[in-house]
Amino acid sequence: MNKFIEVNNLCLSYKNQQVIKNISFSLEQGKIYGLIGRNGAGKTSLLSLLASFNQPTAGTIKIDGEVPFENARIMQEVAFIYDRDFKDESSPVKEMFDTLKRYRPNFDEEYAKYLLDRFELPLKKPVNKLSKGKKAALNVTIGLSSRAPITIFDEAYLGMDAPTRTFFYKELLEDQARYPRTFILSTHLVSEMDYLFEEVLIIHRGELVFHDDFETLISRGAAITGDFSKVDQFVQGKKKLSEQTLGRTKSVMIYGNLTEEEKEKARSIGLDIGPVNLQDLFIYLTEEGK
Amino acid sequence: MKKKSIRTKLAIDLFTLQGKWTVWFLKIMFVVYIAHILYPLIHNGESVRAVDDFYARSYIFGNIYMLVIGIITSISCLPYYVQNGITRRDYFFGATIGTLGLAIIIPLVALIIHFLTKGMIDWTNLPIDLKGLTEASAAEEDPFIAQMILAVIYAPSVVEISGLSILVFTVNLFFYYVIGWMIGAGFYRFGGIKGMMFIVLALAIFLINSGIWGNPVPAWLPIPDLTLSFYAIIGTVSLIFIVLGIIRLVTRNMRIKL
Repeated sequence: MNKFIEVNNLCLSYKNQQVIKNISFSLEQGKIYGLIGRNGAGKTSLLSLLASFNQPTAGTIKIDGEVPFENARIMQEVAFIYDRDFKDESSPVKEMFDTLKRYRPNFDEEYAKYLLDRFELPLKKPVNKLSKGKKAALNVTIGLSSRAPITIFDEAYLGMDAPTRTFFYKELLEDQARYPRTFILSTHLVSEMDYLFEEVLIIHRGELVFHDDFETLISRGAAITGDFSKVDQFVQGKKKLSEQTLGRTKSVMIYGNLTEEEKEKARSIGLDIGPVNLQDLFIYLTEEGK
Repeated sequence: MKKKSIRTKLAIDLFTLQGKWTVWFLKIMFVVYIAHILYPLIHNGESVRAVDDFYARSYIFGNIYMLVIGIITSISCLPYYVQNGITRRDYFFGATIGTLGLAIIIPLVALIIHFLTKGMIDWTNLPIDLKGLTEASAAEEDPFIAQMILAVIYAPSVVEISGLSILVFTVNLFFYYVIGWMIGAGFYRFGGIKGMMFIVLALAIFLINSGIWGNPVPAWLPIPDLTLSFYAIIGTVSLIFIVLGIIRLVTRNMRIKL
């Protein structure tokens, strides 16, 4: 496994508050990572450390074998796109792309033009006069067209409406196929983005509570669907994540691996076993009090 | 090699950006200047009147202008460039060089405008007597605040057009810029009371600089009076280096706010 990003015992404190607590993980080149966590879990703090916006209080970060902070070679390869309001940015949209052209070695002008066109972004309009949705579209255009080897999107898609977000997800996957890079997508819109993630990191209260590939994560639970009385009987004693009933049919998400015997038994009584969804797992893993 | 080219790009960018602002600044100042010359003439009829020349006027307002853009760029440009993958170190050097370029150009442009307006006045025979700045006439017994204001807006009192004065002009513009930069960086990083301390520090540095140039300073400040311009320039340049050192210390590990 190539360790493109290596994080060891990372800690970050503001005054007396510890926001990142001893986090270690490594990420490979060319994969799409989902970083999920509740509000205030420390997602943005972690990402701003990766992007050299800040320095860790303790622990180390290495990108491509080097410490990224104030490292000109690494910093120009990391694009950190976060939800910002551009309220002081009175220069026209075009100027932002002039800057990218000068300072982002992999910036693709043609691709930027294509995205600007698709998002219907006016080049001459001052950035701070754009609507919230258009600002978000500008932001993701900057992120995608920079083609930085490490591209971090931190809730950058919040202002966009659903069709625009769908277009963005599709575009991200297509561009990833053309120019593979390491994406880190932080979100709490888990249910609509989960299909993008190859690996998932879940942080909760400044700690990394889970890091594995998407398949492994969702195999930690199962969705049992079928006749409601049979389902109830089957899931008795198991940790329930959520449940839904429609007529006589019931679907229950459970946490924990099912043994082969259990799976066999379920099938024999006519129950359907499906994958659990990431959203339910996420809610369970980051419940209050945990 | 690569690092060098990033700094060069930054220097050009900062020069261009601030240059655009400066064009506006000079345009506005020129319009106000012309109005200042013409309005009393039209209103009060023709009697010979003394007006400070454009060069001298740029000298004073240029300093304040540089202080302001120093504050603005330190708050907005550094985060902008770090967001675009630039190191704080490269920004520091790029902005320093780019602004130095600006500080060299402004006096030359002011000089050109000065000669143009002078030519126009002579040609049209307007009853205007253009004068360089006269010596600051603050008396020794001026109250402290008045001296402070004087120190801030009116540092050197030699404003006659000469090669030396152009150099003094450049050095002072750059001096005011780095002071603004220091205040902005201090506020950005520390905020609140600690940020305020950078204003106090700036005032202290202004006062020292003012003393170096032979302006009256409060008696308790042991500042050598280096009225000879050449030594005074060296004094201000030394202060610039000290301030740049402080800026680098404040910004080298600065957190970029989201």
